[in-house]
Amino acid sequence: MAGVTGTYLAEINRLNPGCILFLLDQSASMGDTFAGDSAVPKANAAADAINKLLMDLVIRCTQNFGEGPRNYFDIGVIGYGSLSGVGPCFGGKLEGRTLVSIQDLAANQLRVETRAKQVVDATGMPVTTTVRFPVWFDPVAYGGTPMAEALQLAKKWLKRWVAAHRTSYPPIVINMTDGEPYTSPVRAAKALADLRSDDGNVLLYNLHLSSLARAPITFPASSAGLPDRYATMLFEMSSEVPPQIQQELATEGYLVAPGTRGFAFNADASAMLQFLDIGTRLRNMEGAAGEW
Amino acid sequence: MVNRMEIQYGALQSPKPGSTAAQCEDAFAYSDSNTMSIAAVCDGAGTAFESRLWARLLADAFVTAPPPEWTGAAVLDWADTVARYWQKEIPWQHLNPFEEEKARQGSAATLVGMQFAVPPPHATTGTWQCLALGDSCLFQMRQGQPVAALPLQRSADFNAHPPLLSTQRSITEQYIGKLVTYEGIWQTGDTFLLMTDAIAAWFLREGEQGTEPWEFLAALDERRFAQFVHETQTRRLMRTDDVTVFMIGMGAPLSTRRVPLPVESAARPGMPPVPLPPVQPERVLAGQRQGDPGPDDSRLSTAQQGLPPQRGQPLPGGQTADTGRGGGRKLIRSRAALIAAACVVLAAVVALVLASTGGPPPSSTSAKTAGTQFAKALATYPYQGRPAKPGETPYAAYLSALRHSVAGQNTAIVYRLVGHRLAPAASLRSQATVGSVTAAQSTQSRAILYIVVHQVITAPHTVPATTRRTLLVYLVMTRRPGQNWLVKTGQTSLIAPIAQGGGVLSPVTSPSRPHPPAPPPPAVKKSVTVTGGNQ
Repeated sequence: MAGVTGTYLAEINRLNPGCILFLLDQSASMGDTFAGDSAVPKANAAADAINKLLMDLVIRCTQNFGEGPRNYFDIGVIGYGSLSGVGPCFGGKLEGRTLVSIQDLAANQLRVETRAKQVVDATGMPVTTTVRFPVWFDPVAYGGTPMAEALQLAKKWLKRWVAAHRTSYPPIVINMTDGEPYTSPVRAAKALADLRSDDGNVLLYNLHLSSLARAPITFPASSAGLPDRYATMLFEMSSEVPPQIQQELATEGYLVAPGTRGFAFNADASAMLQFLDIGTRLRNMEGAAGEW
Repeated sequence: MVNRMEIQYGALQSPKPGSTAAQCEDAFAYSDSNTMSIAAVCDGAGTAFESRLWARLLADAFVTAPPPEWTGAAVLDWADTVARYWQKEIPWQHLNPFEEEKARQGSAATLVGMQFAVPPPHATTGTWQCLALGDSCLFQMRQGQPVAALPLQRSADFNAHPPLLSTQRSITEQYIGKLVTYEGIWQTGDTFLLMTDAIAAWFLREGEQGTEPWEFLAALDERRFAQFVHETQTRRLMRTDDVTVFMIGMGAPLSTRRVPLPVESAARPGMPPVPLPPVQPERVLAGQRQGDPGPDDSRLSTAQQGLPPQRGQPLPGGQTADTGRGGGRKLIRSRAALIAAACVVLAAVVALVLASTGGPPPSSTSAKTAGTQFAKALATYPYQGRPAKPGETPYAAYLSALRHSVAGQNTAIVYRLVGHRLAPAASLRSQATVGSVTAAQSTQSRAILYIVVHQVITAPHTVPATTRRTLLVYLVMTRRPGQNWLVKTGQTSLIAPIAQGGGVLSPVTSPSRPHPPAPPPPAVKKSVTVTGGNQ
């Protein structure tokens, strides 16, 4: 399924919003820490990363004081594990909601935490300051890995979404997992990635979180060097990244070969953040300088 | 009557689809004194915070208090100064977490500016200087052909990451090496075009394909310009973006026709204090700079700080300005200029004294009265929105009603006044008391006023809360002989923060309830003419 078709050039604006959907593994093994880092369980790091990314998306869509963010995106998070099965993750007022708008996200959080943050002051010295950190959902780590079911649910949501947004940039789905699913998710993944808007197919990216102390493999163009059948399966499930994102990767210093896929294997915390950042970076947002 | 070459100014602007004119993130400004003409176009980066404000501040600052030298270091310092005003205008205490983080990231905009000394009578040529950072462009047209294109020359030169002036010095520092400066010669009949990137790229590409885009552009009026931009963008021949063209005709007639108002240097609220009104005795200063400082008024040397490089001064990039003709003639010219400048300084000092002592000529009493009435009307307008249409927020409905009924086309005034979170629009009431009224400029036909308005906003039918805030209303008023004062343009900014946690101006968090049918809107005042004329 990897060969994506489409132009991936649709401008993201309020009439033609984009869509970003996270699929988050909430199985028991997510309670383990990253290999080589004993401080934070993967489930917490992943929840932090997504919460942070949601905040970044709201910030990206915020342009003027008092106007509220612009609805450039619809956003969803599907969790899959055994505690509450497969379903939407948002807490608070958004509980039970599927895809929500950026304005919904901005107006409703589970809570806003105060966190310490290292910044560099005007003289170049690092100082600790506190920042407000909105939280939309909490980490969970329990039970098995019903990935196929999560992909099926994603397909159900996105089928409706693309029908309503034919001219939009196609949805981006980022699946974050650390374990082996019970049943093969390949068919469900193919069905999901076959969905399309006029601008192209759904982009399905897979982010595998590290349990082995070895270097992550990110945005590979072939399955050569992947350690096992499971890694190869996730690679095969992942979409090729569109040319614009390939350019982004090249500017970030990645070695980009034709057929580069939205896939990371054995990602540690920093590789995870970078993957999420690049995977959701869209240059053709209204107001952003465009490509010529 | 001297047969002087006429310099014409014109502007065409079209906001991107889905934006109103007030939401346009392009800004242009110009200032023409007796001696100097200076213009700027800025393009606020759409993804940055309050980039409309930043672009506006940069453009206004450039034409009123430009960088003292057109070098990277001086522009960096200058942008820093302007950024402090941006920082000041951001209501940090009232930002939500997202706005706060976005505001910390700062804002960014491009800048292209140009200036030339106003030519003496009968002059048919002279020099001009340009400064550019980013992808907003300047074109000098002569007989339909470009003779200068800055800073980009080919449509392929445009890309997604133009250099920008940021509110953060560290970011501007990364770009400042890309600053382009230039000095050229103009001739009678030339036209200068300052454009933001989308139309500049289109303009260059058309030229590369052998068509004459200037002929075409020159033939458009405002309405047809908007139509043309829309069509060209729909056909994907022009990137969808705000579009601005600012034109200066050096004795060449412009078919454009919206002649904008020059920016008054002494009068922009929140701008760096400019020691003198727009009249700038630069030729004298240029002469003095080459020699010893001279026994000049201390005001002059202060004014000098804000002046761009002049004739005879070394220009950025090692170029040297045209030093004019023979020495004897130069002396005569500089003596004449000295006298002219002395008059100008005298007039400026008088204007300053008048403004500061509140003892302006008799006509200003009526300008003040008229302006005060207008500001009060603006602040006490019953905040009655029409019912929101499907898909429209009550806030948008309210804004639209207000825009149509109070200020005519003066959306800038209204926008700044209400550009804050609002409770349901239907039932807000405002009471206003006018504080100090200061005339920054005042003549028989023109006045610039700062009016402090204290506003108490209540929502008697919904929540028992009160919001107090203080506004600074800035008005440019004009009057034709025998007629009433007219508000030409204006701006309102919040100078005292909203008290008591926002009161009735707190965010609308719940989905809006359907509104009952609104009463018919108040009588529409088409123009903003105010009474109080011939007292």
